[in-house]
Amino acid sequence: MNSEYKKGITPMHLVISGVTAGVCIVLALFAIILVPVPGLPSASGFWIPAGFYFVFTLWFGIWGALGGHIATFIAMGYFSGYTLHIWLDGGLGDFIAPLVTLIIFRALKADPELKTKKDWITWIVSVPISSLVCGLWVHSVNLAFGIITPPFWWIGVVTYFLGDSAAIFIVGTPLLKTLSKYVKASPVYVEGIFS
Amino acid sequence: MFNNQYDIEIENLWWKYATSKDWILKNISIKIRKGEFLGIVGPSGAGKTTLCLCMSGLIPLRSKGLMNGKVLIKGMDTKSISLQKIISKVGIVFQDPDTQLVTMSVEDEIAFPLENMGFSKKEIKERVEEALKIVGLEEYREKYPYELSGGQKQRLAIASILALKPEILILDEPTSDLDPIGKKEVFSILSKLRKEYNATLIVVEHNTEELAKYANRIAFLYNGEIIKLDAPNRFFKDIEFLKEKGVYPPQVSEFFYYSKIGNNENNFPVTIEEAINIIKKEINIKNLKNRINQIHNKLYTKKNRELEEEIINVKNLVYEYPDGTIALKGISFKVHKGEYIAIVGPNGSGKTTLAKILVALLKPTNGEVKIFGEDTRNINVSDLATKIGYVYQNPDHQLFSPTVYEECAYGLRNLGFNEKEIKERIEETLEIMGLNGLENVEPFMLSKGQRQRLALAATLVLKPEVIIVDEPTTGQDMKQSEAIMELLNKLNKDGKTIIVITHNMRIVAEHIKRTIVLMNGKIILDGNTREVFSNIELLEEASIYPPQITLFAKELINKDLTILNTYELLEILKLNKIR
Amino acid sequence: MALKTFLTYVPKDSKINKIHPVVKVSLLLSINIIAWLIEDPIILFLLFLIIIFNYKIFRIPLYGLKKFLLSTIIILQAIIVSYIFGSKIPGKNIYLILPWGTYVSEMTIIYIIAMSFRFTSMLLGSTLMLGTMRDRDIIYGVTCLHLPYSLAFIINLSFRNMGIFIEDYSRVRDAMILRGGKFSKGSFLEKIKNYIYLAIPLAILAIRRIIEISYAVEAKGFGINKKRSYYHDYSINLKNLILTIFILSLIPLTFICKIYFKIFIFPGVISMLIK
Repeated sequence: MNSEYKKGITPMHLVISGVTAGVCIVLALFAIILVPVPGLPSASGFWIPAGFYFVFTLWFGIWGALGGHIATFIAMGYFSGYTLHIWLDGGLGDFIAPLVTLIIFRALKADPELKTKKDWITWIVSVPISSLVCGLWVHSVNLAFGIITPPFWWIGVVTYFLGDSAAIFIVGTPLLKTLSKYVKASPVYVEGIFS
Repeated sequence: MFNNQYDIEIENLWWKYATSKDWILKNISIKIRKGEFLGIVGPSGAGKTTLCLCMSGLIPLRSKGLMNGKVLIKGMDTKSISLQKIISKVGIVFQDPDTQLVTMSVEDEIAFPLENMGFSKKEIKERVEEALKIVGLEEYREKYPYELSGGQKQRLAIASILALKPEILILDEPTSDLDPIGKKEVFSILSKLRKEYNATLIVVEHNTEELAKYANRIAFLYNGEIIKLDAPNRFFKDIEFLKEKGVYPPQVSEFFYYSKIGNNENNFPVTIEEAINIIKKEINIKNLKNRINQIHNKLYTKKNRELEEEIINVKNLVYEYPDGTIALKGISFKVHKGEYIAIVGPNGSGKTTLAKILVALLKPTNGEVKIFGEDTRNINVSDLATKIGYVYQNPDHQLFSPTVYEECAYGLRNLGFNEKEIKERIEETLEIMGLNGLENVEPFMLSKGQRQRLALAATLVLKPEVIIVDEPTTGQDMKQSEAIMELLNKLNKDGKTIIVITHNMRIVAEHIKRTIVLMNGKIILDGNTREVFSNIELLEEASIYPPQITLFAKELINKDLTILNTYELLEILKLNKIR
Repeated sequence: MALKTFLTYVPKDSKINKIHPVVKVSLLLSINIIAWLIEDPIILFLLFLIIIFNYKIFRIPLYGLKKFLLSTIIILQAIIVSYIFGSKIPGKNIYLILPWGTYVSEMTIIYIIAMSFRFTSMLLGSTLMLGTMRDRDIIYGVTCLHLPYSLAFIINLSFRNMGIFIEDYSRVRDAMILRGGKFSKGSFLEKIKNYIYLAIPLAILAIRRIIEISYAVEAKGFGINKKRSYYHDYSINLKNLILTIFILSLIPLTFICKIYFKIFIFPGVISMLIK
């Protein structure tokens, strides 16, 4: 292949973050009031954008996760105000969660096309782990800001775990199965984490 | 050794992408002089965009693949210099203006490349002013790019590149997505750049009539190879060859080819002016006055097919969007079964809004719309699926299933058809559309032409009585456009009512019997296509330009004569019999 | 005449337009962190009032905040439900004891009020600062802070692409409806299936757009030079710099007051009033 081709981080990676953020902002705005959970702020019973930015992260590395992070912050802030709490809560949480899945996939060399048993197991196991990590983070932030109390912390974690996992499996799995082949053949696919 | 008369030299260029099996460009060799205007034509998938990317340095510097041969820009090999050096020499403008505008204001958009290249603030300011002036966007400097019209956006995209003062400008189908006003605006800028700045221009276009006016040479790219390269007057002589390979020649050239007038190699006309000059020497129009009158009467008194039952009745239709924009301001018309109608008008005239109301996606604000006798206010959109089909311009907005088969089956399953009938209908439809054998292929892996046909197939499989098609030939090469129009013609002959929304007056003139002209939300003309095209002044107000042959005939013979295609003119002038 | 900003409309002659974006960002940060540090309900209430008062001074219409109403109600109900059912804040009067050991006292109610004022102060303060900027001012602010331009670029692109995505979404959804697809009727599974079908072309369109935009920005030299120049003046003058430093210094000051001088802690001034 051509040695002149520039490897490493290029403007395309920034474009990925911008475009994926644009997509996920709209999805997040829609999902925020779709299934709210009483007693828990910032919790949606079915967080549709997660299905997208998890997949975007597996395809585009950290740039997809960055898109999800920006999207969640902008969308949540649109309804709840652009506070430090919102940024730390959903914004950072939705950056960390897909990265966990990405790291697991890359470490185990699993294929996002979900061709083999190993790929499927990696997907099925990594998603709940990531959702759990996200739930733990988000509700710890809510606790720190005094918005919830310790008994509700557990409820929040479980809701996040279930809500996010469901959305990621339901929305993300068909996207991965149908489009990964196409994405991998295109110049936008990121094989590593950064490039 | 750099030959300074050539801005670009391509020698034995072969290129394939990392993921492609075959070579996309095969042994391309061409030299482009300083100040030259080179047009590039070719069918879809020929490699035109790839060639543009090679000439701009983005291949190989930003694309993975395999390259053999050389591309020299001002003597510098693109394989061994930086993109920074290339950008100061070559600018490239792409088809879709929306993907090229990335900032928050018109002047920021022009400043963007200058900031990237590290120009000083003073220099940026000067160049921004200059670029705004060249493209005529000074009064829009503070506007958001998305607030501009299509033509303005593309002018802005050009200005943004011009700010870097490249000596070479490459434009890849810059007018495909634009309405006629937008197209004129872009070509006017190109003409200015050529005359006043002596820029080297390389333009990929399907619109050969405009290219023929300005280009010094035209290159025909076919299946990755340049199979023809010549000045327009010689290039367009080989009409049959061009048409067979999928390129629209200018209509006047087509006329001259079939008439066998002026077979002088150096005198083959490609513009109306050239054609008038030649033909007046060869034919005495006055001698044909009686014949012209005879045929004129024949054309105008041609008996129209008797109208069948009324299926669409629009009465005083008004539509207002939630933001207060009144898209339709009291329009009325009727459509009968089996009619073949074109709806034309500039962008923003209300064509797409009207189409959406006819399929009940939008409900009228005031007035009444009845489809098969039922008021659309009382109809669900999905209930109309077997009565009216609507096919968009961009097939990617209509394909959402994992396979071609599933795509066609989607609508049928929603409407409760059994699997046996679904299978039969799909087999029949895919056969008609030339997609048989592709049932298990993912739709997005098909070529653009195939995706377009699949989008049409997915609607046709529901066997609607009325089919509305939005811009079926935009961005298509001639062969694909003709194939789609032939299909629509066949469907109309089989009794379907066809409504085509289009900017392409040539296909309207050649294929469609009735034309409705919209302007600013009102119908300004509605009638037989010939009668509509007779109203030149009114059409000009609506920025509608009849096909080249129509304008040619009016100028040549009589401004009251409205010819719709080359063959009519040949018949009128008896030119297939003369000589 | 009003300027359309990110979240609301701002009178063109409002003094808030004169505040430098860096000062606005530092105010936003300070209000949030200070509100987070403070637990004293009276102080939080005063902070809330000061912010509302500023809306009046800068003539920002409060009706522009109505878009936050639903979410505010959700968050306030979260606070109420959490503390009523899940807290043990000692007080003089216990109104309700729950089977799992938590209880409601008068201090619980005061704490709920304090947290409500904390949250609404953060919301109103952030909106006052961020929401009164136009999207291009936000980009300007990010650049003024000398954060990498790539961040401004990404945010810029995300704003641009929101509109394009919404258009794509409408068209694909309409195309599905035209072929009998149902989004409002039908079972939950049917609806989910339709939304999944919707996701596929939207993802493809986004991917194609990424490739096209990448080529376009690279052709304009983006990312070529490590150091880029700027068309607009992003420098910050001495007055604004001093103001920024002062505003940001309120954060450690509040922290010190809370930790060392025990000011701003719960229940604070209220306990004196109750006594």
